Amino acid sequence: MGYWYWKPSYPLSHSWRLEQSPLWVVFRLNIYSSQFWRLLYYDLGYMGLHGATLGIFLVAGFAIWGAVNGNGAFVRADVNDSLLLLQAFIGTVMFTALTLSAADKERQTATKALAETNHTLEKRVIERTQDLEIAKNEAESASRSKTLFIAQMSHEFRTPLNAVIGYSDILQMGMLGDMTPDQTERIGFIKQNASRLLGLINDTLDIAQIEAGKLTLTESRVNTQYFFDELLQGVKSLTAKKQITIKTVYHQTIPERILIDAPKIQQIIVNLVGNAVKFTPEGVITIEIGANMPNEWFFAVRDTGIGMSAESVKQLFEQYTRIADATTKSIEGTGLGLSITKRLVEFLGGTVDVQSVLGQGSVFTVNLPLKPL
Amino acid sequence: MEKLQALVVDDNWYNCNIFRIALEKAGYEVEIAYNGRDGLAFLETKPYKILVIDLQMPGLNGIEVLTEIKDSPIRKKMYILVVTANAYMATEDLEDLSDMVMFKPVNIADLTFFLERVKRIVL
Repeated sequence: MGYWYWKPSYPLSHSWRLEQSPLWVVFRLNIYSSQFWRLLYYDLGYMGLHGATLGIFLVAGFAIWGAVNGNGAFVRADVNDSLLLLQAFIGTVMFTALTLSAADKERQTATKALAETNHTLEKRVIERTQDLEIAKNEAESASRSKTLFIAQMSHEFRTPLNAVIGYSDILQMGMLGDMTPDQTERIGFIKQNASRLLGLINDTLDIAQIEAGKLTLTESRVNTQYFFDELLQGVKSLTAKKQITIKTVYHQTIPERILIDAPKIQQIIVNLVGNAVKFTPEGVITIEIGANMPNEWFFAVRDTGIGMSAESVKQLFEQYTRIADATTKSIEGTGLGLSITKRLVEFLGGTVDVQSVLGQGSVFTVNLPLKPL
Repeated sequence: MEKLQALVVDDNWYNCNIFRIALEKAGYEVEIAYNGRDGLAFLETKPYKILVIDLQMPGLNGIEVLTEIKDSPIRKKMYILVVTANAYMATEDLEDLSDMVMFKPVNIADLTFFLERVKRIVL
């Protein structure tokens, strides 16, 4: 051991103890603790190229030292053999160490790149989230202002209409003195047109309301037959001036009580029957109510009116589209009714089907999910 | 027989006029306030049997007026008819503030029916 000694950085003294030696660290190592292996792994990992070089020198040094002293596996009869073997050994160790070191370097670079990518991604996610948050807030505020606008419009339209319809009513009811039949008729015209304007406003605001996503579901249990009887009693007034009979057919399949959004169903039926009345000069309108599947119920409005061609059926539910030809020109409407109907049905999770034959009539079928009571 | 007193609170002159005609035809004596503050002042002066009130008014609005008189003794002796042009208004809030809500444009036949019913209950 004469060739090699370890010189401490501090002077040796009588008080020198093992604890002061760097080897103390080795003595104290507890190889049974996972902490040790983790530290070792990390140290080796971080040692990299320098560590490998140092390792080669150490191992080669020991090998040479051993061979020179005539100890170890490298001692052969011929010195040349011994040196060749030693060279081969050192070369192998060196290449192994270099390969490992390169692999480790690569790993470190990859880890760094990954960390950078990760960081960039995180930053981007944060940016995107902020963008989305801003967009969401903008959309929400737009929706809020739209709703406010709807309410305001409704108010601004209805206030003057209240005066028009109110005075017409007052005059027509003879509250300000008797009117000649001619005058009463003309007042009736004013009222009719004002009501039509009101219908227009209601439809437009309904569409705006639907588009602002302001529909809410208000479901209640109803007695099917009672609900439809009462509803269709009200609808009958639509046929006042025409030679039209309204018939109701209840299929045995419909449950006695169902869970529905009554106001929306009412609006849908009034729209569909109103439509049927509009396009039926005279004849029969049949309303069928039933259930043909365990989880679905339907109602169908069948008329014997003027019907539609296949092309017309296609564009039927488009907004502001009215089927315009010679036969329908004289019929008034906003072109919003069926669009509203379709949107309401879709909101309720159902579908509308139309079958129509030109000159024979149309059938509008609304299929809706049958909800458990 | 003494006539029943009615108060109309609305900022629109035409609407007030319509309500005045309908109320007078139904046999009420009508007074009109064109804003919420005047309406509150009028309510102090006489025992009104019917209050017809609009919601959207400059200054003190209808809801504020109704909230103000909610717990006062005059509320108990009076029928309140709210007439609003805002058809998208949630009527649940008005349930304990008023007895009846009508949306503009008001059907005069409906209004007359309501007035007659109140008269039959009161007299």
